[in-house]
Amino acid sequence: MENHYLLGYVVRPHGIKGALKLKVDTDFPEKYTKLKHITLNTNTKTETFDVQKLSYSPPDEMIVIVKQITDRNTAELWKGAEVWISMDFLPKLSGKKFYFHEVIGFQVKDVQLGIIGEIVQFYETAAHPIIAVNHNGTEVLIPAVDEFITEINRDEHYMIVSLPENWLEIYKD
Amino acid sequence: MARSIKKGPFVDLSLMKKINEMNNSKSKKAIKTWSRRSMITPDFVGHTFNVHNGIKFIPVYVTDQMIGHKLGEFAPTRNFKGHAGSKDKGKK
Repeated sequence: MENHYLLGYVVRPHGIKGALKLKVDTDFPEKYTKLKHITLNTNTKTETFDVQKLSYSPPDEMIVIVKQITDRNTAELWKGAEVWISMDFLPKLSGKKFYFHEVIGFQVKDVQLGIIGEIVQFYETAAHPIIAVNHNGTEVLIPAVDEFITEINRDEHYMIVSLPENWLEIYKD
Repeated sequence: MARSIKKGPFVDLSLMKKINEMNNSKSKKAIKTWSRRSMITPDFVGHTFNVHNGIKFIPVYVTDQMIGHKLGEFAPTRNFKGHAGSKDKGKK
């Protein structure tokens, strides 16, 4: 889905009036309580709904009432559906905070080693997210933590990192 | 059964040696290790270990909240891609 962002998925219907319980994958769920539209996507259908009421249920669930769904039977049809929202709604981040999708394709430069490569994807681990950078055909992994990321330039599409001196030697074998 | 407190935490000797050298010289280099069984001690905090997961080295930046855990806990060896049945998720 172009220009959309995957927020989470529908866990199950809630109540008998067609409300949906969502599980959201975000660090700041409370910022999404003023959503106007959501798009639900299953393997067979995709539909955009107007949000009537949305309440946040900590830590990562939301209950949403949409205008188009008024009974539980219809709500059941969307159980397990992906919840997408327009990227325009995402709150703008600044400084060293960023969305993963926002920096894909950014060039990574090290303060000492110079250009490392281009950001290809992110991995989630128990410790912290990891940035995968394509360095001359080799995948170089960099922890996405403040101690490594020095600067993000959104206008010129690059990220400056501060790697330990022998970081690239690990990937030479 | 838990490890006896008397013995103290287990850390591979070669790894401990590298950490001690770096702490003494106050330098920070990337450490490549296969020792997933080594426990994270307060000396490890602030260092970055590249822990082998059987295929590649996963970078682990150690913070104080990780003390007491093993290095291997932060370098997953399996990549769960969902159950076969979940392809029908949302279908009715």
